[in-house]
Amino acid sequence: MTTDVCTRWAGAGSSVAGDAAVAGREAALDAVSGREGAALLVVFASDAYDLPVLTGAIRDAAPGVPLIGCSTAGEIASSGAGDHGVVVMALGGPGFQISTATAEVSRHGLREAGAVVAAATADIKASPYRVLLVLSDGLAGDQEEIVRGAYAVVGAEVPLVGGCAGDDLRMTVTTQLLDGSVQTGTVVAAAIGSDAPLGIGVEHGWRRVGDAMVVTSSNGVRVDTLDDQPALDVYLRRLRAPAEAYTDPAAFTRFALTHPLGLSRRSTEELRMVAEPDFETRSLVCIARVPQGGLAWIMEGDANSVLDATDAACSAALQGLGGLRPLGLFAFDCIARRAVLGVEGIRTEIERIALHADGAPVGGFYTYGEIARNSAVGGFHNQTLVVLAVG
Amino acid sequence: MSIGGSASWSTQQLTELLALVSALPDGADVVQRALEHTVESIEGDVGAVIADGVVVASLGYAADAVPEHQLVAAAAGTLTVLDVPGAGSCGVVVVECDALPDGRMVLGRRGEGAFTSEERNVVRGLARVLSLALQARRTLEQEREQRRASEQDALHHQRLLVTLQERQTLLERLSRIQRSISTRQPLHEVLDAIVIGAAELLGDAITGLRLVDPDDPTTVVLAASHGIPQALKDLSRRSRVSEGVGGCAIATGALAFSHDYVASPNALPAFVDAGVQATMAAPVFQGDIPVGSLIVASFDAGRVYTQSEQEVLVAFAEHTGLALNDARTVAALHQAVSEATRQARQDSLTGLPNRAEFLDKLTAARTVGLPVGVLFIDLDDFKLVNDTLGHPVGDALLRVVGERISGSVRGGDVVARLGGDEFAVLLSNTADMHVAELAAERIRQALSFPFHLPGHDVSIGSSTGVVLAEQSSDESADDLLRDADVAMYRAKALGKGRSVLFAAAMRVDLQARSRLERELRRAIDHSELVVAYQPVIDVNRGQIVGAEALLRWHHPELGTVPPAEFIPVAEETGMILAIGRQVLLDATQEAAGWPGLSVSVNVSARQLSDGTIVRDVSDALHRSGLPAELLTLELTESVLVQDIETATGILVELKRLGVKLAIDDFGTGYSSLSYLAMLPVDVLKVDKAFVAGVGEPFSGGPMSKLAATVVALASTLGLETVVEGVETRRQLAAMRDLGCTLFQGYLWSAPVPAAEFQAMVTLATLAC
Repeated sequence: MTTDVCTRWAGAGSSVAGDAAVAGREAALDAVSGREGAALLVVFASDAYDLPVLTGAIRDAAPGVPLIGCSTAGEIASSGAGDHGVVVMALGGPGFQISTATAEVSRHGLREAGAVVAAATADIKASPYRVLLVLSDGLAGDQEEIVRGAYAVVGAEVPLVGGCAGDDLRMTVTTQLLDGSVQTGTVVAAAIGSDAPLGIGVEHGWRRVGDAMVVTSSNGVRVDTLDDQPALDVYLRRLRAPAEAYTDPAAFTRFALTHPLGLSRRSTEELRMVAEPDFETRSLVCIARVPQGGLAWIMEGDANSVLDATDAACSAALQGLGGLRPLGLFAFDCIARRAVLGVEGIRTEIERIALHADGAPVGGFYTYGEIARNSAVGGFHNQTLVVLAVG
Repeated sequence: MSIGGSASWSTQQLTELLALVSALPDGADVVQRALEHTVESIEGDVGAVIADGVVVASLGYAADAVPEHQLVAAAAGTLTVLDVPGAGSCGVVVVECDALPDGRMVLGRRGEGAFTSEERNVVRGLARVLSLALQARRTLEQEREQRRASEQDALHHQRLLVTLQERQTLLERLSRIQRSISTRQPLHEVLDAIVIGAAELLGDAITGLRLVDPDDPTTVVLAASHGIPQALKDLSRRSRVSEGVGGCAIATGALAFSHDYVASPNALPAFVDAGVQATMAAPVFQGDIPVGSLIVASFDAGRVYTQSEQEVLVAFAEHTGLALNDARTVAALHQAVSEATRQARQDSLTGLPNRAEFLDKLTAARTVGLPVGVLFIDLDDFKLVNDTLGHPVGDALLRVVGERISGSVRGGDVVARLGGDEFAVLLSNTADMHVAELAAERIRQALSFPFHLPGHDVSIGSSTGVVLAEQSSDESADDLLRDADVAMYRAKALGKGRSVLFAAAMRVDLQARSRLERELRRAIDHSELVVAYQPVIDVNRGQIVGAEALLRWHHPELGTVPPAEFIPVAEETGMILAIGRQVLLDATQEAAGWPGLSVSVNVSARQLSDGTIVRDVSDALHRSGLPAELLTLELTESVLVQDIETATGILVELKRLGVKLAIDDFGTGYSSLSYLAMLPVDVLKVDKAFVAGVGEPFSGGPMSKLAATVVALASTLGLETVVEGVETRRQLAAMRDLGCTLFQGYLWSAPVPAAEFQAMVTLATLAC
């Protein structure tokens, strides 16, 4: 599906072909649709594919076009959400300025990696509207640090948006793509400059369950005790978790998806996805830092509240376009929301996003964490839907 | 208990920042981190710290576009709205930051809406925490500087150390007060804690907190006090708001003091009569309004309040304000930082200090220049206890081990549990080899007696590494612990159950190993590890029937690194898991493109014990589409016998996937018929060691007889054999005579890159 507005354009293509080369080629050709001046390809692909082959096929179909992308926990396209597929979003036409970058977390550290990729925004200074689209390795540590590092370079001037790469919930290794290179343990980013506005929407749709707990001992992303009790035990007991979550890490992770922690903030809760249990130390391991001394709630959501959030995020993103019709929408949707919605629910969710898109192409993926720093510092989210509308 | 949204929000921000700054490593930029935390707390967009009219930290501006003039003007109060690119007009709040010269923190939030008084209070409190952290750090640096400059001035060290400890005590005090605020202790108890804390830290005889009476704002009441004689207390329970040095602080909203109380125009006669010589008072605010004062007074003539003492009083007064604000909110918290901090420094299983606490104690000993000895104790074969008797027994054992070690050392020595089955002892004030050896021996003996645990009697040994540091040596605590660890490893290598004194040469070995580890990590990132394939030949058919996948490392500088060197490192560090997974993926992917040939892949001990091997194999088969029967997993017998029951379980699961299993290197180690018959294996690989001797002149020696036995054994058990390491036609002929048909070795081909193997298969014209 594609949309043409004047000379700037956005397109999306997707494929679920079993062969990586075929899938890459189909999705890329569909996204570009023979138009001139493709400026950026953003690829969201299942790692069931041979990603080097897939990326190679995309680059062959759209030679020389800058590319960023990542592996997913499910892909989002206008036509619906799926697994084991690939979605390619393309932006093109003379009204876009693009600069891409990558940084290795092991070499730079998380914070500096954020700063390194954010430096790409220096190349798009002339553009009136700017955003830094960041895709990071969701398993590489405290993602807030990446956002802080990027914020230190761009400040409030350039919003940050994006998500953490996934691996279909195996939680072992995720992949990032930059041009022809297939990487892991990195942050990739595209600084996007545009002649027309860009809008961002962020919503989660979860609510508190039960009383607050004090994070009595934590270390980075690891929560050791809540209310002085081993955190894992408190968590399982309070939620009356199913028996298998007490012993099976995979069952735990599936269960925890729909029960994030909420940290008390000035006007809202900041959500933390509980990624895995440590059965030995009875700790919880989250996707981002949980500060010691703070208050935390267990949160829950249902299909209705999560879908309401979908509408709110889309509306907020479109509002940022100042009345322009969107050229395309990027959606970074937490894997946990998908777990709450179920198969039917995500169909409805994608339909709603498509409705907001009003015929414009939609592309995105189910993430291990979402990035959106639009107003106020602190821009790493969990269990949230982030929408970027390109006007 | 239920808690509302903003309730306790303020105290939470303070405790979070306290926890954050106290956990920051030495080199970290405290100002930047505290600024970030503060801006995030109020959901602001920008922030800056200004000292002496210069921006020393900022946030929210593009790195090359920090508007210095604007921020300095905002700090000076001449600009109340910041124009921030990307965020538009931002309302501003400015607070003082005492630890920096003319220091101020400026924060901006989009929209010009005012900050609430609660938010202002929080920001003020956060700036105070930052100041205290900076001062503590400065004192520490000063102390280090002094130590470098002069090792002799021991008195001076002590003095500085006292200051340092005072700072630490102050932080602890404040955090305790915050705790009592957040746990909603009755207000009077919180206020008592504040006056007692101030009294203890400042060492003055009298402390009092006077608060304006809401019903009669012209008077103040004594809300809490410490050390005021009863008669004087009765006299001064209620007084006029403007009276005394305390009144002065309320009137001016600033710190007030008098070093010559008798001559002071603000002196109160009753206190002069009681003998007060000096006094100091800090205002207590609620929102922006002074509502009381916190006062200390001394009976000592010549008492002078230093700059840092003034800051301490201001800090306590600010906490009083927080307590008053908070007392009005409805919600409650149950726990807080100091308790958590204490727990974070204690091993929960044994109650002994943990690694962090041990390192701190060791650092402290080194800081004052004491000679020390460090023992690093590791239990021998503890894993066996855990695996065979279960974790509860293992835990019980560790508790008793902790007790026995504690009972074997001197009163002043520190015993810690570092984690797992590792313990450490700090022998304080001695670097005497004899003393250390005696201690190590006492511990070894204490641990050598059987442990009577519920349901089990357990015997276990221990290995100990010892390192000594004289007064003059400059090793850090981390260095010493690492060296002791290295010596412990040497003790293990020498056969366990002993202690070894550290020698510098041991470190060299370790360095070589850690360089290899570093290089290996880099190699993984740079794809220097590749899979090579050595063909397996069916000599009867004269065809390639498969290949063994072998890992090769081509280092850009070192050339080819032998697997024997890097595989053990990969095993120890766990890198083998990622590497093994990749080899599985690569090999199955590759083999899926071959015409019905099988591929065999080596599986390491770590992969087997990690518990993910079944999933990894199934995943690799699924992704590649390779039929399971074409994949053979090779396991060495030494791996299998380590934990035969678990291994058997995993092998059964692997068999269910349909793959074949081979025993590699059979006969070189523990060879046991009984387990070989028990395991669900399909293939026996005859090791190169057996083959080397056969078929050569003078053959018929023990090796060639062994080879015959191994082959016969395989045949009895119905196992396929693959003969490895065949290099000569004679060896081939001899092994063929034994009935073997499947071979691999240099006689046909070395392990070759995938593409080359593919070409080889395509040509498929090998002469046998």
